[in-house]
Amino acid sequence: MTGRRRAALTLAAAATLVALAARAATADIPDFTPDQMGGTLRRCISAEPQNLNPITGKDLYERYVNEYVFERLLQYNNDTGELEGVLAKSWEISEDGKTITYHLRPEACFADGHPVTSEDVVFSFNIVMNAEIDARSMASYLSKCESCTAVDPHTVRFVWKEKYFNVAGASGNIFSVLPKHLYAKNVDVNPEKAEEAGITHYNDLVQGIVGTGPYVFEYWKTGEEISLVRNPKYWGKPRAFDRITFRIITDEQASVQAFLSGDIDYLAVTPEWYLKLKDHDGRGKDKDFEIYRYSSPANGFSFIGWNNASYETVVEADGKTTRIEHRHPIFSDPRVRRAMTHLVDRKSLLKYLYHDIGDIANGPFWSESPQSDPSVKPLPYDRREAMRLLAEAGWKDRDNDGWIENASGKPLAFEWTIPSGHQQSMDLARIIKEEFRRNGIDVKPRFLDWPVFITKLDNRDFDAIILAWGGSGALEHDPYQIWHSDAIADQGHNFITFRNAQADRLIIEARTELDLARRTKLFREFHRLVHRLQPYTFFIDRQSLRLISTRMQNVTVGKLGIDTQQWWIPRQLRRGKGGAAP
Amino acid sequence: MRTYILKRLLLMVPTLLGITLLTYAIVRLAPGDPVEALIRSQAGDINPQVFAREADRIRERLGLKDYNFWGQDPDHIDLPEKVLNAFYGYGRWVWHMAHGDFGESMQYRTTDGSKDPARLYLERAHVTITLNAIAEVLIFLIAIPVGLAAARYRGRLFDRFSTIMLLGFWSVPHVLAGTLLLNYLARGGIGLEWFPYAGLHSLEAQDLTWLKSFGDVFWHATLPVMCLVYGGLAYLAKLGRASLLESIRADYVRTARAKGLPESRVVYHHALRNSLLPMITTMVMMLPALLGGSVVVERIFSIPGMGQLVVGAAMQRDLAVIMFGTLVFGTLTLVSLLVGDLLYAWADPRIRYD
Repeated sequence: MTGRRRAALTLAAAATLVALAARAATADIPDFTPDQMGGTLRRCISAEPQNLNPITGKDLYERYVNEYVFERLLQYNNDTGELEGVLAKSWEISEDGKTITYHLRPEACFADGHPVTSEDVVFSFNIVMNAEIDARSMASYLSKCESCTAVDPHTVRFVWKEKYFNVAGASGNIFSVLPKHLYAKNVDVNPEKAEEAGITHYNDLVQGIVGTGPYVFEYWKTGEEISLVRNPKYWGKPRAFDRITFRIITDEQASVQAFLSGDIDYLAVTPEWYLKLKDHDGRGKDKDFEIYRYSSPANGFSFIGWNNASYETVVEADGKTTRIEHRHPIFSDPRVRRAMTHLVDRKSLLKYLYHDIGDIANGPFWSESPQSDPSVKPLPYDRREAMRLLAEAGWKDRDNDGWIENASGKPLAFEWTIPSGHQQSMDLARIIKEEFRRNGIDVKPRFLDWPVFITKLDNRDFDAIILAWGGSGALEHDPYQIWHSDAIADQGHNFITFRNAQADRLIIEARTELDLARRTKLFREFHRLVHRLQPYTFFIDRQSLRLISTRMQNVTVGKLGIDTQQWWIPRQLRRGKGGAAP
Repeated sequence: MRTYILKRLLLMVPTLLGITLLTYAIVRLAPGDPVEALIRSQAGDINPQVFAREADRIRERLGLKDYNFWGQDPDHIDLPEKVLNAFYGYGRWVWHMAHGDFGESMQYRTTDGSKDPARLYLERAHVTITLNAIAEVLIFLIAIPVGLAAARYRGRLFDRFSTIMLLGFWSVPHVLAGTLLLNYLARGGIGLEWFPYAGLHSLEAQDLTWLKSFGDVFWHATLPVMCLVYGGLAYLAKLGRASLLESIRADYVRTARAKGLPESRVVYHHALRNSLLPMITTMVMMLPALLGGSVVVERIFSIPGMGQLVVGAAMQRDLAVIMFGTLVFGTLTLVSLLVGDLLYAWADPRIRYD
């Protein structure tokens, strides 16, 4: 159920700013026996969601909760990573790759018993596209969609403006399907007049929205707990748990204590906690939980971005032609960028700063994705090679003062812009600054608040940055948003201004190629090109760390991570509401 | 006296305006654009025109729109223009506030969907008030005997011991104390697992009897209240000791002793009464500081109070919520200062404000 497939800016430190892909792929649901069904899955979230509306909700917490309540046409299978039908029974894509037709499951129904029809799908699509509705970012994923029409009660057709390899994921896996008969009035009402009419405008619906999923909303106690309860009218295979609760615990230490005292069953932790709890429960007792550590396409990677700018724009005004040169004095040269990567000792940094949790990142794709070329190996830490590359690019210590200069005597010095508040990035900057100084390069780290940092990105006003991309959640990822030169203008995501004609061609060819083998070849070629040019120094592929109580049965790690909907608890081990033990 | 109170109350208005203007200006003029950061960190890729329109729509709604007063290049509004915009925006905020409209939050909503900052605070107020009321009472109840004993047995073991302890308390920041308490006294920690780690009542509280649920709140509030109490306690106990020592050395106490009253009557009846008064006034004035500590404590113990709201809003630069918070906390501070001053006058007839 990956919603926002495309990468989004993330900063791990400021949880409320994180916009990770809503990967909630479901694995094959086992046929639970009546004896296995029951009990409560107790989870924990570190902040309150802004709302629980699947279309206007924007934070991670909303998605954690709503993955149990709403369904889309398609979702990614957690074990295989392939798209499969949820509300759609089947779908076909036209020869030209622009039209996709979905056939809905006739048995699918909403929690109130109404069957799901193509009208509901079109209605949901129209909510997202409605300019009055607070869902502009979700709408942006559908901006290349020309139309969405109901062919008959159980057939929906999407037409894309251009040929696109992932038209299924882009149309069927973006938005949840909502019942038209319940919410049409909330969408249609004029927001100014909603109050008089006594109708809540759709933007102001914050909880209790009806979906088609295996659970329905029960209650939300501000700052305390959100609870979901089994949907008695669920059309699909029932899940094992009767209830799913989300405790809101704002302090990390407290959430771990909640887990250790057995009050929650499932918790994501930081590497520090992982190390502490790896062997015993942190209190010298045997642990009654398992720690899972895995990498998945949802994790994303961190990187050092260099300002690649190296192009001209031509402005014609008053009959005069002016050429404006955009060229970064240092990092426009790929040799310098390669040298920088050679100077960053990623292996040691990974070990000492990240406790070896993660892998050295190696390119724009997740390392286990078919798109990633296995022949590409990370550039090693190599000072001599770095100095050679720098000298080749004209940077060397010409006056023997220990600092590197270019031919005109300008020292190799730059400013490094880093979002403040994220301890690891700040430590990283300090260590690398020291390493660079020893090699005659003068780095000035500059720590900026997130809003200021964003403004710097938008204006492309930086020499180098540290940042992370959230993962796409799917095995295949479209590099267009980040790497194509179209994304340089208008504050697009190519903020490092990477402009390369060959890269542009490869990206376009690959994303319009419907054949997987041929597409993979093109993506791999693009990967090799990026590796050669080193527009980023790719840093760490992050990993997921999860604590899971041993009371949970059938816990498996699929290609895309963990899916709680496969789990069940033996009767004698149930706790909380509806359980045997207190 | 009445004119004095009236004067002080009237003075509060410009003071509050000053406080809010300063806060408003800081939030508005700080570099970076919160609206843009909000949209950008949520969006994958928004088409730039849609982005600009959306940002404009939000700014308009939140009263954050920049106006081009001097007709300059709209992409490069300079600092004087920004200052002008901030003043204009502030004026608008005051005008709307005077009409009971406090604007709307950029991201927070009450459980029934309202974005009104007043309702957001109201929803959380009872929690913060409960916590701080318990803390205030406890500080007072503990600080008096401790200060009294330290003064009576000045220089003896208890006095020295309590001085060191109180100094220690005074120096420990809330964050450290909270984490230590959590780790050593709460369930799932490494010490005595006596208290809960989060929240202000059990989730099953509605099923409990009245008495049990009362006990439940106390059980939950223990650690957070301990965390709130120790700082104020240190301050007030030291103050109590000093003021009692002062009274014990006063002439009227010597007189009392001279006329043969028993020591306990001298201390409790004559000295204590007089030294209590500065403690009461200090207590009142301590209230704003206590609320400040509540901000940290609420986060550590996952208590959904006003403190959490204030921190969250400050991080996102959610202007309407910050401004309403400033207004509430500002008013509270000014009122407690006034009440403190009045109590002084009431306690000590030598002080006159007229």
